[in-house]
Amino acid sequence: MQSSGLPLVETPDVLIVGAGVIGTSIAMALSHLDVDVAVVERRHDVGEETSRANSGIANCGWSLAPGSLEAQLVCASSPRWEDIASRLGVTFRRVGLTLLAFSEEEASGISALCERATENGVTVREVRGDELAEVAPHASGRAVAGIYVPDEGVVDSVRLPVAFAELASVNGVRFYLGESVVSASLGNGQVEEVLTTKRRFRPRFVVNAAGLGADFVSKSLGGDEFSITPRRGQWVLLDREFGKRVPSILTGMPGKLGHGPMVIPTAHGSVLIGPDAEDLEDKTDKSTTGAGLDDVVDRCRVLMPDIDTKFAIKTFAGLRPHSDKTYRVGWSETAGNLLQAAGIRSTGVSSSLAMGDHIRDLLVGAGLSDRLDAGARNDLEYTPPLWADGDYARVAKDPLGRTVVCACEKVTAADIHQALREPLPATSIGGVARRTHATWGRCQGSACLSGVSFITSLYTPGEAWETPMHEPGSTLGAGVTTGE
Amino acid sequence: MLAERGIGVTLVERLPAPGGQEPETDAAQLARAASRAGVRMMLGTLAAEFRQGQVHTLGVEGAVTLSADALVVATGSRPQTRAELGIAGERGAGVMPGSATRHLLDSGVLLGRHPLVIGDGHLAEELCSALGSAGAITVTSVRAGSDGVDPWPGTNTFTDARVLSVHGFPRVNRAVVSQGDRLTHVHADAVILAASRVAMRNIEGAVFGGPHVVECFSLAEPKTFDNAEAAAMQACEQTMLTLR
Repeated sequence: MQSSGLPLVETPDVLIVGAGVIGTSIAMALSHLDVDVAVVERRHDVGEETSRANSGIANCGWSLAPGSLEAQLVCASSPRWEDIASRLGVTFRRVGLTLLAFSEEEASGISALCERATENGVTVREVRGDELAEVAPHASGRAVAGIYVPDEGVVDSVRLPVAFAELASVNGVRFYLGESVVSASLGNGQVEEVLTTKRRFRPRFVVNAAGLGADFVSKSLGGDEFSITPRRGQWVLLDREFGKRVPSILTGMPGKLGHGPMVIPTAHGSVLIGPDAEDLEDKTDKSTTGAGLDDVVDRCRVLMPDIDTKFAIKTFAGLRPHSDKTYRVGWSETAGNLLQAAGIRSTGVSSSLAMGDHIRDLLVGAGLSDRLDAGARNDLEYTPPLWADGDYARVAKDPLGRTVVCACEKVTAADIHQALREPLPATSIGGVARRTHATWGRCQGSACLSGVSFITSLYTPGEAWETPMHEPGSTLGAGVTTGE
Repeated sequence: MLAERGIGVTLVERLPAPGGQEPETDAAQLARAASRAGVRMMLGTLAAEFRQGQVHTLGVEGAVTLSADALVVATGSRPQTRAELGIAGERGAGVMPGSATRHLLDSGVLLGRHPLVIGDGHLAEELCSALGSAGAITVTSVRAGSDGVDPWPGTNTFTDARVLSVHGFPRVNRAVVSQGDRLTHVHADAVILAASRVAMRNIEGAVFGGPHVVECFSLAEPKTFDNAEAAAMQACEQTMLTLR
């Protein structure tokens, strides 16, 4: 490794690379131990890449390969959602899912999927006729049969990594955001030193939870060589008003690339339709295409013909980290103290709760102290936004709660200030939006963007025009006005 | 109008003064007339939700629930969003609602040195002019109309056109403009959405109308007092029918 001139400032017991939902869940699990943990993340905020554009489904594991690590971790996470959600202030709803078959040929695959669910310890049932209409009243009448999965849930997956990271931060984990791994030096088959863009680490253990960048990070750390392919999925978000018609998740029979587009009520009451699946080469290509979005809408209308794009609020794309081996979780074969938590393509949110504990246990098995930190907290001090419970009297107790900045999402000045003062605060307008939903409603910031940006600018360096929208270089404006 | 017909009226306004986001010169006068007619003003208050004849509000007086036989929704208009305009591409910074652009310009924030403004109406025209005066080097105007369209002064104008996609991350740097079969890649460091005013709907339970909900939106271009008054009169008549 070349000498960088950077000071050696960190000697953590564990260095986690990546602050998505997996990296932050691991940080949260480790924060309950009396060990020193640091996290580096190349983006400006936690959960900014794969974790910010996913389905929000908290899968109960019904359709996963029995015995696989993925199934084990997802099934172990599922019963824990209500508890963790209440402790961290993350919205979760167990809405249920119905898989639809549109021909008897498709329906012939139902019994095998039901058996798989049983092997995973998940209760499901085949439904037809009136019972199908009862569990999925919004589904197409053309469906001839289905599988009802009552334990499937949805979680506010945008806030989830923020909440994981904040609890970890409260418990002493240090987060270094906007900082990339550059290289590492190895000695005796171990990672000895990790160089980032800003500092050096001499960690005892390194966890690679870098999502889309996990292949690069592994290679940089002298770990196993593998490849991560960005699999793009395009989404359409529909209004909460439409959400009243969508009580549960609808999906079709799985194909080569997964279940295909789904109709998903979000934790927040709106509806997501998507994703499609397209493997790309460019790991930064989160662009949507007219044809791709049209395809998503058409395929979801097969599941639910009433889908109406007049309710569309927003379109976006996300990238899933597709690996040649899914769930590449375990010790590196080439760097002894490097633990991989990579290749988690579609069930990162769903497995996150148990994944944190799994990685913690592997580290403890390798010699990390298992002594508990007696002072560690299990919950966050967090005031939920108005939309979470509709309790106007509660919100009005705080004078700042009486000023509604985002009228569509009912986000108050108190919510925005909280987002900018949290243990791991927002540092951009996008960060505020992710923590509060401000600017994410029907008018997409038409009425509130100036207000949200003003409050954000009170907490960020520079002039008002320099207030970041998200990553460095994403300033609100291009300069100050001149002339009259 | 309703108060003058003997109806008990409460006016709930999100902003601290009557007149809306784009105050009209007549607003203060009309507000005084409404007060004289007995209208109760709740300023700095959001009508958040309408449910079973009750309006839940949040504002300077705290959380107040009002009983109402009819809800007249006169929450104004906004430009179409990116999704409504069907603009694909990347989500870099610099894609801005036109209404927010006006406020940010007033605050001294120049949104782009090479902004592209989408829209045919008064807001788009005003923003093209304001951006040019505020320091933009080039202003591109993309307008859906073609017949009788004269380019606004100081703009590079595309007529009979729409923006298909925007590109650039972390900040937008390019837009793809379609004119029939012809595609043009336009350098733009800001894309301002100022097309076709649509109703601002943000009262839960009344977003798309419903029983006891009367909509009062004036969306015609250009915005005129006469158009607003006509919409108000129509809403007034409909409210009287609802109350019968």
